[in-house]
Formats: sequence, structure tokens, C-alpha cells
Amino acid sequence: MSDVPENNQTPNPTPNVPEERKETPPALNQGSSEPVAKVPPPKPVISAEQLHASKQIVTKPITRPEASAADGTDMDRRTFIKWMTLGWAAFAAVLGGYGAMMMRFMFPNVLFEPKQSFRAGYPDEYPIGEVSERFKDKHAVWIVRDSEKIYALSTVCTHLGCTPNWLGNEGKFKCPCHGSGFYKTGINFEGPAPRPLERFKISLGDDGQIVIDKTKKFQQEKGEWNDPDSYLIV
Amino acid sequence: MSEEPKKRLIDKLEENYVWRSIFRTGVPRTRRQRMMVVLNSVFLHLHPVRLPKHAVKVKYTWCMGGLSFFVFLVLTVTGILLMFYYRPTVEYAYGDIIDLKEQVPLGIMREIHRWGAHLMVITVWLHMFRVFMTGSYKPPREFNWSVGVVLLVLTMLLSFTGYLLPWDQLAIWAITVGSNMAGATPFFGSSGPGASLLGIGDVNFVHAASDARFALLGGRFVGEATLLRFYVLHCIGFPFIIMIFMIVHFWRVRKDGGISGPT
Repeated sequence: MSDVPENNQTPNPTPNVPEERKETPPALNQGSSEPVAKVPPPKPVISAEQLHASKQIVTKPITRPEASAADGTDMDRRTFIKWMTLGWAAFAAVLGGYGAMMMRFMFPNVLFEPKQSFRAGYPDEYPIGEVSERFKDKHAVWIVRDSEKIYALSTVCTHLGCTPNWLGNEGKFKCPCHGSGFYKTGINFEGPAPRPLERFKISLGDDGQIVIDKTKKFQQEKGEWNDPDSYLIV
Repeated sequence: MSEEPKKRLIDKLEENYVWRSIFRTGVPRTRRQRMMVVLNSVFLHLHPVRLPKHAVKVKYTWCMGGLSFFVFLVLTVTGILLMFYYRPTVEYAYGDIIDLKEQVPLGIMREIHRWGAHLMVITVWLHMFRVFMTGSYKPPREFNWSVGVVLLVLTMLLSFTGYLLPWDQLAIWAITVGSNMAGATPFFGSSGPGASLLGIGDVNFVHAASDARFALLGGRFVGEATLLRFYVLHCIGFPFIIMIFMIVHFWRVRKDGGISGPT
């Protein structure tokens, strides 16, 4: 009851509310200009209409956005959502593009890696029954010649990747890390190594030199040592 | 006798314009001032204005979250110091690590970084264990638990990338084994299941020079490119990401009602 005079002091929009709902700009102009003239002076007694008017004041801010959206200068909801969807889609596309670029960036076109194949001299440089450590340090390969063929063994232990030592007196490769042992053929026989040493592709080059290609490996447990690329008949 | 000049000195210091521009609250004498000091400082405001009694009970929290953060700060400081001497190349990396131990003043700096790294993995795990055993992952803290899991993974990744940098046999083979796991990723690893399905005719899209392992190593095996890649990830990439997640983690601890306590 006590706040009613306060409400009456504010412009009374009651008569204008229907006009505000009209979808044309003039209605809005009318709405903003007319109340000033029509405002009645504060009355001490409250009628039912005034009580209703005070409710209209509360609803006024809710009706206003609809009216302003209809005056043509602002976007309506549908257009706004359309543009926003388009905007977000464009943003997502650009972001996705950048993401793809970043992914691609991590895959270099040129590798500065040591060559994976090398020439290992002529076959008669390797005596029968010997394990050559000539390329152990540089290329991590043992070249072994038995009575009928030459093969290239990887020096990487199949347990955890250490480099075993060739113990000529005992005729075995022995890994210093965990004690894995391999025969001259590369077959494992002691220690934790789960499988034989790997062999690399070996062939004879145009100049008669042995060519070893480390990109192609042969694993005994897969039966690949029978592959003619894995040994060289001399 | 001595009270008067001391008080005057403090007053003088406080009335100073520069001092007041930095410390708005002045010497906290009331409860309200004490709260304002905490609220007005960017560093102090990380800490709650008021603590429940249980939050300082070491028996309940083990202080493992705080210790993890502390160790992270130690690792950041020592790590930046190590960067002044360490060069991430095949030629220099191993020698620089030896030099850091034997020639650089305070050779223990590198060891602090190494021990700190081990310690952080331990404290993060213990923190996770504590949170699990006290049921602190339950609502409303379930999101923060997930953030914590990401932080754990990032801690492990930091540990993994830092492992390669000494460039000794242990490092090279550890990363060889670790990155071979990436090569066994389904579809994205060249030796993983499904990789051979991705291709047209004889053209294989996922091979040793295009798979997840290759992206990780920057080559077909652990080499120069890998060392540089891991160095950048270890010093810039992962610390940057982990800090973002740490901000969210700490913020959520506060927003979810502070450190959980016995109910």
C-alpha cells in the first residue's frame, strides 16, 4: 500500500501497451512520447486500474525487447541465430584447419637420419666361421659368415635393447645388461631375451660389395630367415 | 621506551604513498583486515581466507597435493637453471649432463631436478591415493578428480620426455621401448592392429614414416630430431599445458567447498 504513490510517479504506460505491441516503428515512438503527456498527477486514492497499472510497469521490460526487435534496425532472433551458427561454424572450421596444420607440421618431409643402408666390403674379406665386429660401432651390425652363407645380425638385444658382446672363446653373444646369451646364429639360449637377434637384408651390389639394408629386418620366430634376402650365398 | 619510535616507523612506512599503492589494507589488526590482506593479494588469494580445522590436519591430507605443487615449483626453477647449460643435440647433450654434474658450480642442481622428478611422481600418486581413500572424488568433486587424472598423465609425460634428455644408453633404449608402444596403437601405429586396413591398393597410409610413433620421434628411430622434440615438449609444451590444468584444479578445490574433510 505504501509504495503505490511511488509507482504512480513513474510514467504510466497502461494505455500504450497495446500500441507498443504493434509491429511498426511509429507505435514505438508514440509509446515513448505519449506517456509524458498522459501521466496523471499522483493520486492519494488507489483504484483497481492503478493497481493493474503497477503490474504493467513490472511487465514493461519484458515486452520491450520484442518491440525493439521489430523496428527493423535490430536483428530478429531467427536471423541472429542464423548468423551466430554461421559464425561459430566458420570459427570451428578455422580452428580445425589450424589443428590439421599443426598435426601436419609434426611430420617432417626430410629426415636427417643416418643412412640405413651401407656397403660392407667384399665377401672374401670375411673368413668362414668368423664374427666380424667391423661395423658394430658405426652401424650396429655383426657380419657373420658360416660355411655356406653370410648374414648380418643386429646388435640390439631383443630383451631391452642393450648391445651384447661377442665372446669368441665361448662362441656366443652375451648381453652385459641382464645376461641374455645368443648363439652365433643369433638364436637366444639363456637369460631373459624372449627371441633371437634380428637379421638385416643383405645383398651383393653392382661393384661386388656386400650391401646391407637395415630398413628390412628378418625375424627367426616368424620364419623369415628362410627368405633369400636375409642371407648371401657366396 | 622502544615501543614509541617503532610504532612511528611502522606508521611512517604505512603512510608512504608507494607502500599504500601496493598494500591497500595496511598492517592487519582486525579480523576484517586480515581477510582483506588475503583477498587483495594475487598470491595469497590462492589460499582460502578461512580454513576449516580439518584442512590443516596432516593425518588426513598428508599434504600431498601441496607437496606436489611445491616439488613442481622446485622442478621449474631447477629446470630453468639447467637450460642455461644443456644443449639438446646428439653431439653435446650427454657431455653437457656430465658437465652439469662435474664442472658447473653447484653440480647438485641437476640431481635436485632428477630427484624432484622422481619425488613428484611419488607425491602425485600418493595424493591420488589419499583422495581415493578419503572418498574425496565423490560429488561435488568428481570433475576435479578428472582434472587430477589429466594432471597425473601430464606428470608422467613430463617424466617420460625428461628421461631422454641425458642421452645415455638407458635414455635412448627406454624411449625406444616407450615409443614402440605408440607404434602399436590401433590404426595409428604402423605395427598396430588395423594399420594395414588403412590404404588403397598397394599404397599404405600408415607406415613407419607416417604413424603415431613417427610423429613422436620426428623420425623412424630415436635420433637427433627426437631429442629436440622431447626437449621442447619437456621444457615448454607440457609445462604450459600442466599449468593450465593446475589453475583449474586449484580453483575447483576452492569452488567445490575447499579441501574435503571427514564427515
